[in-house]
This record gives sequence, structure tokens and C-alpha cells, in this order.
Amino acid sequence: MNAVARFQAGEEKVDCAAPLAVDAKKAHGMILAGRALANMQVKGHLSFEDNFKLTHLPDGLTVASLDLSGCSGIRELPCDLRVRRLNISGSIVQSLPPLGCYELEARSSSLVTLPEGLRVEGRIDLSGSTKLVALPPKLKTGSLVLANCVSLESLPEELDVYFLDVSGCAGLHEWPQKASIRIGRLNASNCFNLRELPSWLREVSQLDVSGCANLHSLPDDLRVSSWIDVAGTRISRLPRASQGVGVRWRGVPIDERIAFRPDTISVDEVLAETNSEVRRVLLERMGYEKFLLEAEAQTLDCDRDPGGERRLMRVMMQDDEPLVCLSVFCPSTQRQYMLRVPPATGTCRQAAAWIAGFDRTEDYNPTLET
Amino acid sequence: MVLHEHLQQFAGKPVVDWSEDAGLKDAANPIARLSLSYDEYDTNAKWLDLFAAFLEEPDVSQVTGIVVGVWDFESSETSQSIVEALVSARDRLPNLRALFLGDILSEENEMSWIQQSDLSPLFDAYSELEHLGVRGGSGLNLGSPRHEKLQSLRVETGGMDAGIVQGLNRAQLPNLEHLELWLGTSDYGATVAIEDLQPILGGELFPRLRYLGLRNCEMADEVARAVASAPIVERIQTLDLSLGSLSDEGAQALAQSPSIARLEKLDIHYHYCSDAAVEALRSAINGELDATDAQKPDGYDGESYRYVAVGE
Repeated sequence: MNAVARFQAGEEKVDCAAPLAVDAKKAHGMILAGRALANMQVKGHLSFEDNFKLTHLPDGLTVASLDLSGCSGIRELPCDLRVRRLNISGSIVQSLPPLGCYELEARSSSLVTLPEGLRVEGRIDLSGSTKLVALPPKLKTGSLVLANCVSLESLPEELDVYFLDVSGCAGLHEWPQKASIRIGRLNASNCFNLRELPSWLREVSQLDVSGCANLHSLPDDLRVSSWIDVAGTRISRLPRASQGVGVRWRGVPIDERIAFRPDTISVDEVLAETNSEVRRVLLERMGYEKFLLEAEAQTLDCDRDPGGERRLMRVMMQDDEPLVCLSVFCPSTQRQYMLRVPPATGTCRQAAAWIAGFDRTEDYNPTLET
Repeated sequence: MVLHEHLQQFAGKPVVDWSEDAGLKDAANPIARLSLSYDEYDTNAKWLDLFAAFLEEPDVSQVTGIVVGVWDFESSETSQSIVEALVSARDRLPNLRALFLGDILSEENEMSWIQQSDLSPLFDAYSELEHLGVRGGSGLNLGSPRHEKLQSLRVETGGMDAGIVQGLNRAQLPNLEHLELWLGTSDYGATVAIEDLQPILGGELFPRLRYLGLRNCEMADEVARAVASAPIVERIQTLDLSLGSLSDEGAQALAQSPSIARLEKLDIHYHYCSDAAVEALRSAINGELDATDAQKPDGYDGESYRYVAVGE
């Protein structure tokens, strides 16, 4: 019997120089049984999702896509793996060979870095890869997702992408000297250690800097063509090159006036707003205290605590739950606070209990309210 | 009815399904349709796998048009990853002139279930793009595109959000000749009001417009009234109010329009007008009138209902 016939008969692993195309289902079984040929070409898509038995893949494996997500038995991949899409999300694979593919999915991966020489044409998703500390210089891909890669402190020099998501990268505090994010989107939401945007960022369609609490301004020559999300930043106006661009507040489309001139928001405007998401933004921008005052809120209950008078106030809202807030004065900070509480709250005591985290008011029996 | 057949033609070229096995023949001519089949989806394939294989075709740089078909079978995945992949491939597709995103049939996924996304990066990515079409209004955002070469824009929805039109009102599309908006019904998210359409109807916004389609519209009569007296009618060659709930009221407004006579074509196919109203329109215009596919309103509980062609 020749080599091909022995292989087809399902007998022992055959080291064969000429690649044979194998159906994915069959290949799956052979690989798990350790009977896979080197340089095996597989027709279709191979999935070993959540598999704990897989420990080894044959050298030179060629397949359209390989799903190793959740695999707990395999740490390394063959150096001449040929795939269009590789998924190692949630697996214990610790390092990758410098392969070439279209898409790399490595969400919540154990990767610490990516190899130089890795070529991923379309998309790299490393979200939630909390051990990731560095990326190779000149990394180029279409869309790079690094959301919540909390150990990442910087991006590589000469990074070249169309879409970059570094949301939640709390460790990121500086930008490379030279890099490129073109045409698409920069999502740097909640990167609160970022104090500025890079000068080489010139034109994107979408920019999300919501939650970048230390970001005071955007470069005037930055042209954003679709929208900028500025919630929770200290930005006070749009870049000159982006006049007329859409403005968002945590994903809610608003306008420049609401974002940057909240003092112009009136009670009537809030009450007349039919879109409940926009209305919540208006309320937040205006401030509950000013709103309740100007809306002549109804006082539901009134009592005293060590800070002084406490007042539970309510304004009925059209097509939305009532706005109910507890007004308290804090003697240590010497500030008045207006704290929103659930709409059904009826008394100051209930409100205080809820604020303190008690679901049942009767459990709230403070020795001292400070 | 309307969405039971895949696009056979787009941007003046035939559309041909592409598969890895069949390969790309005559890359520059027919427009390739990339659609995930249920079998492929069942074996864990994704639309991006198809696209990745397509990009490996040796002649892919000659491709002039792409139609994106099905990418999802669970109505859970937006077109965002498709848009990102298309933008990221711009150096590989230097001759892309035509793009249709969402050639999906009612049987495959009802139009209102198609999850779209923000398409605005596409305008910046493909400066040579001439024809853009999209189906599905859920989650759709076009921004306020600035594009020198775009000639035709077609947006098919079962319910168009006013934001889409408001964004277009700030667009700069100096070469736009064909603007087609399927406005839909409020049941499926339509919030466009007549005042949102005024900048388009004023005629100055898109100075080279030759075709205006305000189709599949539940307020077709109000639209007809607004259009009948609008400057745009003196500029375009074709007015298309088909697939909507147009009735005698709207037809009369059109017939009485001083400028309607000069139109080369008035298309109101799929309508609720009486024969008399259609005849009055026919006499009022010099050009061609398409008033085929007349509909009868549904009578139910003493009320009369006129449905748009693609309501869901």
C-alpha cells in the first residue's frame, strides 16, 4: 500500500511531502488523535472551540479559519500555519508565530505582545487582553482593537491603521511620535491618562474621547467628518477644522450648544424634549439642582440630618419616569448635593437608604449620618 | 414583490455572484456580489472570510463594483465590520466605483431587521466612488458626506430616521445626479418630516440632480403636495414617488403643479390612486407616466389602510 492509501485507510500518521486536501470534520478528528499530517490542507473551517484536549497542531497546517477560542491545552502554534482567520480568544496561547492572515481574534488572550513580522491585513482584536504590555513597531492593519488592554502604556512607533479602539486603556498616557490613524475612527473612550491627542492625527470620520477627563482641547487642524463624543472631557469647543461635525454625549447625538454651553439649557427645553435619551443628557448638562429649582419641583418630603434640611423633590416627566432627587447638604465639604433616586421613592429616609446601598429601607439604621 | 429578487444590475453593470470556487472572471466588468450562504454560515464561515478570499484574487485591483449581500443570519451583527473591512481594503480596490451594502431579500432578513452602521468612513476612503446604495435603516448613519465624484445615492429603508436626511442637508455632493430615499413608515422608525426635506426640494443643495426618488413613503400625499410646488421639479428630469401610499389627494396636487409638465418621467408605480386621478396626471405631463401596479386599500373595521410596498 502506498502512503496515500495508508492515509486514506486512516492508519498511522504519514509524513507526506505532497499536501492533501482533507475535509474539516475529518481533519478535526485526525488532529485530536495526533494522526494529522504535516502540511495538511483542510477544506473549510476548523473549530476547536473550548477544547481542552488539543495540545498540538501539525506543522504547515493550511485552513480557511482556525478557531482555538477557549482552548486550555495548547500554548504554541506551528510557525508555518496558514490561515485567513485565527481565533485564540480566551485561550492560553502565550505567543504567536510571525504569521500572515486577514483577521486575528485574540480577545481576553494571554498574549503579552505580538511578534515582529506578524502581518494581519484586515483586523486585530485584542480586547480585554490584560497582560498585553507592548506592540511591535510599524504594526499595520486595517482595524486594531485594544479595548481594556489595561497594561498597555504606549502604542508602537509608526503604527498604521484605519480604525483604532483603545477604549478603557487606563495605562495609556502618551502617543507615538509618528504614526497614522486615517479615515476611520479613533475610540479613546475612558483613557483618562491621556492629556492630548497626537499632532499626526489629521482626519478621521469618528472620534470618541468620552471619559477622557484630562483632555482639555482638540487640535484646531483636526478634521472629524461624522461625529465627536465629548462627554466627561474638559473640551470647551470643537476644532476649527471640524465646524459643523456631529456632537455626541456618551453615544447620544446632541449639538454644540448642549455640549459646550449648558447654561443656555432651559427647563422648558428639557420638558419639551421627546427623545428620552437626549432629555437625560439635557438634565445632566443643566444639572439637577438648577432644573428642579426652575421646574418648581414638588416637595414630596422634608426632614433633617446632621447636615441640615433634607428635601425630596419631584418633577413629572412626559413619556419617562419622574425625576426624583434628594437634596442634602454635606457639612464636611460644605456643598449642596442633588442626588437622583428611584422614581417611586416617597420619603427622605427611603432616599438616603437607597443612596447608601440598602434595598430595604428598614435595614438602614445608621448610627450616624455624616 | 419588491425585495424578492437579488440585484441583477447595479450602476449600469450586471451583478454576478462571486465564490472562491468560481473565481473572478473579467474583474472590471460585472459587479461581484459577496454574500454569505446559510451553509457557509453553518460551517462557521463569516462574511470577512469571503472578503479575505476575494482580496486574494489576482485581478482584484481591477474590480469596479461590489455588492455586499448577506453577512448575518441572526439580525445581531451590524455592518460595522463590513464597513471597516471595505475601508481597510481601499489600497487593494483602487478602481472601486460602485458599492451596494445590503442586497438582502425579505426571506433572508426583513429590511428593518438589517443592522446597519455608520457608513461615513466609506466616503472618505473611496474618493472615486460614483454609486452608493444601502438597504436597511436600523442603526444607519451617513454623516454629512463631502464627495466630489458621487453621482448616485440610494438609501432603502422601511423607516428612515430624520437624522439621515438632516445629515444629507449639510452634505457637499456637487456631482450628485440621482438621489433616492425610501422613507418608510413610522412603525419602522420613520421620523422624517416634510420640513426635513425642504433643503432638497429647494433645488440648490444638489445642483446637478436629475432624478429624485422619495419612495416607499407612508406620507406620499404630503410629499407630493410639497414637491408639486417646490423648485426642484423645475430642475430634475425624473420624479419617483413609487412604492408608497400615494392616493388621489397627492395625485391631484401633482397634476396641478405648474412645473410637472416638463418632467421626462413621473413614476408612481405601486400607488392607491383611482383611474380618474391617473388619467388626470397623464394629461398633465408631457413625459412618461408609470402608474402601474395600482393597489386597493385594505378595509378593516370601517377604516381604510394604505400600506407601503416594503413595510417591514
